[in-house]
Amino acid sequence: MKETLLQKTLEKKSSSLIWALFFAFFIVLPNVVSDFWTYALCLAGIYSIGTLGLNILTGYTGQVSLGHASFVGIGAYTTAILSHKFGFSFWLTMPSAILVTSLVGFMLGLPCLRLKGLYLAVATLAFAWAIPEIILKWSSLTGGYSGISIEALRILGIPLESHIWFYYITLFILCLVIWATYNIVNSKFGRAFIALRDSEEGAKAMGINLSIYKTLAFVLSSAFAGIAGNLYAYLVGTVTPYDFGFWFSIYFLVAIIIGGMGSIPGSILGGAFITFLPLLSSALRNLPNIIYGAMLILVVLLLPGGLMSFVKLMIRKFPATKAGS
Amino acid sequence: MAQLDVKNLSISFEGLTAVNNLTFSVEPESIIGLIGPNGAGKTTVLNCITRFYEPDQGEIEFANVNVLALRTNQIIGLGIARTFQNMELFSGLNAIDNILVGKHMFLKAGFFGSALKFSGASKAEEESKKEAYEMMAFLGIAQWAHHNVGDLPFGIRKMIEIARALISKPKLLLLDEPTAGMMPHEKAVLHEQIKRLRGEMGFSILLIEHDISFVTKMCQQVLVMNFGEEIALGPPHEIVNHPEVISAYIGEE
Repeated sequence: MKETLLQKTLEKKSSSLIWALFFAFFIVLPNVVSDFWTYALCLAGIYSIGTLGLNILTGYTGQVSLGHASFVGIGAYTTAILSHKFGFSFWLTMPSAILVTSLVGFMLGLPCLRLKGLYLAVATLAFAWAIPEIILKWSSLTGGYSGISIEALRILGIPLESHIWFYYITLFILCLVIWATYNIVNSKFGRAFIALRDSEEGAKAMGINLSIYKTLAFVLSSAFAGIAGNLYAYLVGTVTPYDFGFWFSIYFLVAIIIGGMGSIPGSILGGAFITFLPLLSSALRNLPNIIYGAMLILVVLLLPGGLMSFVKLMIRKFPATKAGS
Repeated sequence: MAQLDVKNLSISFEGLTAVNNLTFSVEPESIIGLIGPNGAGKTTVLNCITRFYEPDQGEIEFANVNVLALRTNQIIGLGIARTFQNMELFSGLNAIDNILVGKHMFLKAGFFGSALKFSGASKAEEESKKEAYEMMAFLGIAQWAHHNVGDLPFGIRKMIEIARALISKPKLLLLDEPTAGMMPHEKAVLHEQIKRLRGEMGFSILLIEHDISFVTKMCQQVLVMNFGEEIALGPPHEIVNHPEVISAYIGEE
């Protein structure tokens, strides 16, 4: 009995040690890599936030969306327009981006309530095609073809010149989003999402209003896309209609499948995957997209639960690291 | 005044009559069995009461409330909880979270409170979790709380589905073939558990079941259906000797 108690305290201590090392790693990381890689890490954080949003809608709630990048685009354009034309600061553009994407998500979510599976996918696909076109044609507001430039992010009036500070802000917001997602997933709301995904009949009989929860999932995923879009606009500095095309939506879908459907750490892995793999494979000039394609096929074939199932397997195989799970 | 009143219920699917002019009632704290050959329309009756189906004709009242004016997801709030023939458990959730979904309507936690972990929402969540544990402990299945339901034995899953319905503290429990696929000893355990739960919580049961000995042990009244119509109603010992019931089950001689 005493021994198990001792073991437990040791396990607890090593678990918090592993977490501390984990955080320390991400705090130190931008200081030891080049500016280019810090920029890429920022992008990975932003894509992870977007991926978390899509995972709530598709992974947890089972509603397929092929138009997630459009919401990121709406968030980015809201930010760029408000910042460029009205001089709004980050503290105003961020909530505005969230509000606008949530509203659009709500409006798209309502007509999609009656659609399932492939039909829902096609409806969101139409959205994915329409949004870049609307952005392109509405040039008085969006700058059309050439897009909008946006000033560097200022915190307390000081522009952030190095990507390191942008990295810390992204990391902080990513942690907040992860925390909120974790709380939602482990509340009655998350249970309702999973319940309606697994059995609509069972969920209805248990008092879950399917329309409300499907719409909520749409709004939440759009809100997260809005956060990602806001940060994206500041990081990249310009937004153009081609940044948020159909392929970008497909990458988000790839991210949740590769990372792990219905998994928070899986979303982060997926977000990192869609950021770094194209960079890595273009670094090896002769084999750009082949590696990307091969990796996709390998993961889907060998790890149906995504990269997260591989991580879990490793934790189980090497119990020394188990404390960190 | 009966608790559940079903009057002249009729429903057909593309011209095929599933239930025809059925009238029956369930008294508070009673157990009524609904039996009949396959395709007699038993589950259809349950699906009308829980509003999965829209009847063509008839009235359904529960505690003087017009059930037909409500939607499926409002039925549990009225005090009617059900299980399914094919067990509609949520495969992505563990056992205790499955049970907690049955508490959904009664768990007072707002969205932002839950997302930002406000104390009110956390407290409501903790209390529900405790209640679900107690329910599992009462049924002797607490050791499975954190297992994924897909990995659990059939009989345990059946118990989890019943627990999920009962955590809503229903006044009427609708059971659709609870013993289907169970081993004899599991049936005995289920019978015992339902008896204990009823002693504790005092709900009535509408039971669809093929195992006649289970029905005779459990029910005070049995309603026999064939081709969507009532062919007999009475205490179990009368029903099993009823000539029409015998012919419905084994066919005309």
